[in-house]
Amino acid sequence: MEKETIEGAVTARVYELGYLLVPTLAEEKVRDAAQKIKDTLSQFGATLLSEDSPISIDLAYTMAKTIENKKEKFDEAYFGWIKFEVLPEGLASIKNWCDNEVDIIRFIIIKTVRENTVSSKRSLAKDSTKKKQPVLVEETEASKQVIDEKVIDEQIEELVTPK
Amino acid sequence: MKQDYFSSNNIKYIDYKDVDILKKFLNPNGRITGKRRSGLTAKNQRKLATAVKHSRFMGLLPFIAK
Repeated sequence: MEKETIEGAVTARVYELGYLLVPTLAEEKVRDAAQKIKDTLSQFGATLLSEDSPISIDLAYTMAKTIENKKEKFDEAYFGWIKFEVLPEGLASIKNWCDNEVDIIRFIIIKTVRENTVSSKRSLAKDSTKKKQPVLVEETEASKQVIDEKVIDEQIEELVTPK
Repeated sequence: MKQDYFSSNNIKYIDYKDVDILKKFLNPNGRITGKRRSGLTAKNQRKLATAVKHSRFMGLLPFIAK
């Protein structure tokens, strides 16, 4: 991940910012908040590589964040992530900004690789965790077996009559 | 000998967002299974541990499941 030139200067590294947004935001506000994060990253000199828009998830445990001197508890949140490239020096300012952002409950910045790392599709989406309702197959005319009474009667007689 | 899951599926980077995969290596209490049970190489077992811990921090996986 770390690429060093001959002079020893460190070039840009690939990082990923995963964040949880407060669930109280409206749908449009969520998009705005995600856009704000992207804009801020660009402002700090980051090149955006890939991202996933925030989706509502049920948190595995209750999280708390102090907002305006009040401890708020959250059981669900909007989870999104952005992969970006930036010089290691620029990362501290990004972290500081995220620390002070009110809409972000929690965030994580990790070193990653440029390639796509998620193998399963949308494993976090709420709907995928719920059990799917069994699909009832309606009986069609073709599926209904036409039973010939005569044939059945003959078969029964064959069984009943002693040989 | 049991095959390493990540090597056999050609997964080079264990992502903390891949909850479905990570759950395969958790026991009902939410604890990471040992390498004997998971069958992972030492290197991948360490990567798995890091990914699970990141995932727990972000609330995608529980610290303790009842």
